[in-house]
Amino acid sequence: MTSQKLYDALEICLQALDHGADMESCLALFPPLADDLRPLLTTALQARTDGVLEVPAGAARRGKARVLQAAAEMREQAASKPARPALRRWQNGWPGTRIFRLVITTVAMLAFLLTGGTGLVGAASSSLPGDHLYPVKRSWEDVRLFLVFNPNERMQLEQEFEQERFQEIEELYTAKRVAKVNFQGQLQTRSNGDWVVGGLDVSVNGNATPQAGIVSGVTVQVIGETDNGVIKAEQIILIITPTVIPENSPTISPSSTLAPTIQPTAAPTEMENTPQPTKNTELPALTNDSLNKSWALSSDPAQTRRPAAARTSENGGDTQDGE
Amino acid sequence: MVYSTNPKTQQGFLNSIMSLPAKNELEGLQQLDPQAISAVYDRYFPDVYRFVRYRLNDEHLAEDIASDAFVRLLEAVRSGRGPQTNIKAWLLATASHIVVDHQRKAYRRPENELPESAPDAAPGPVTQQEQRERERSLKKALAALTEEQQSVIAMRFNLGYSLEETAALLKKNVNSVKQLQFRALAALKRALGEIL
Repeated sequence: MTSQKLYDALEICLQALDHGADMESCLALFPPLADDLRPLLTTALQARTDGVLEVPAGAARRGKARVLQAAAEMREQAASKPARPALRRWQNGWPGTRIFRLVITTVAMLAFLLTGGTGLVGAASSSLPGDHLYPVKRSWEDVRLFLVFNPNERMQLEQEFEQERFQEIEELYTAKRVAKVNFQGQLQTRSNGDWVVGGLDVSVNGNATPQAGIVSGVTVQVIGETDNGVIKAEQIILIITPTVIPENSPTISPSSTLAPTIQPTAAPTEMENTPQPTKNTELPALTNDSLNKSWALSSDPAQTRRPAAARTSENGGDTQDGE
Repeated sequence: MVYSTNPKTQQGFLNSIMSLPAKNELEGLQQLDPQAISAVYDRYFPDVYRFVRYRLNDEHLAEDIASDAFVRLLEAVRSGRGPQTNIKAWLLATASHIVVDHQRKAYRRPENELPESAPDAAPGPVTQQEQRERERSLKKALAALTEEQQSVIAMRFNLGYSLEETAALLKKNVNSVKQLQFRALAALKRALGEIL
């Protein structure tokens, strides 16, 4: 290799010059390379002769004083903050410490992220619509739903989150706050612009655009704004495809759930005798539809806000929703 | 000066001159022992100073940079980031970085470049002016080289290190240093030609 020969020849010539040989004698050893080597050797000699060899005594003395001064300051600093022996050993002692330290650091970072993450979610859990952390709460709910693969568990979780929406609206009412809300529920009554969805009063004015085919008993999604105990609807969407419930679920069996659910409707005589029915327990709906009756009669909000259970009853009772 | 390209010789050289004393020196530096610091300083300062001074035309700046390399060594050893065995290589590399930083700053601010009134180290009255001019030209040409090229020129032609020593200090093999040396001399020749 020509280049390597040139590098080697240069080195040999430099070695020869060091031992007192003159340049021409060196170049005579490599006639084909002489033209290439000559300028480099000239430069090398120039670089060598122009070098500074002496170290001024004052420079060494001043430099040493400065270094020792710096060391003294470091000692003072160390004395004011004594390093723990264990920490010192941790930093410098064991072989393989660096790898171990990396592992520990990684674990610590993961722990920090996990605890920090759950801390954030925990703080967001009590947030309400309109709060800064509310998107975190909803995102975390989506994540939880995404991570559940069992249909039963997923349905339970969805119901839990639906209940949470109602709870949030109640808290917004209590706090007299105006905020955008988005929830799903059973349409219980519909009278002109005054609807009752999942036990909550919903005002549907001209701006709202309810979809066609929404009748009492169906599950709807309400998008609106809380305002002094009423939700002013902006949009009402018919939920056409409810969650499928597995057959082995006890709540899906028409024979088992329908009978006890319908049982309370034996009371209609009692209700029918009531001279002035309240708005939330409108009897015409109850008498016309046994399902709605069972929902309206239930005094437990948790029961009245369970559209999936209602759908179960509908599956067993009639096909009003087109299922 | 002995030149050898035998890898075994190079390794033996490394083992003999670097590992054993360096371990004791590092322990002393870590404890900030003044005697150990003085010993390390006395041992390495001349080479560090000459290495820096060869590349800069300012005696005071070279003095500052050389001592700064030692202060950085103390800090690095205290924080566990210092050299494991080869203190000299660490010091020269650190000094080289500082020099290059300075050269870059000087390049951006030409008014702070090499002072005209730099003290003359060569004593001869007749050749004093010529010597000073040659030095100035050399340092200016060196500043145009890469950091590695500057280092190999300074180590080989100023400090007088062998090929093996230079390879060990630059953490390269001997053949790489031969190639680097060839290219450094060619670059230096070009730079000198542009200056003169």
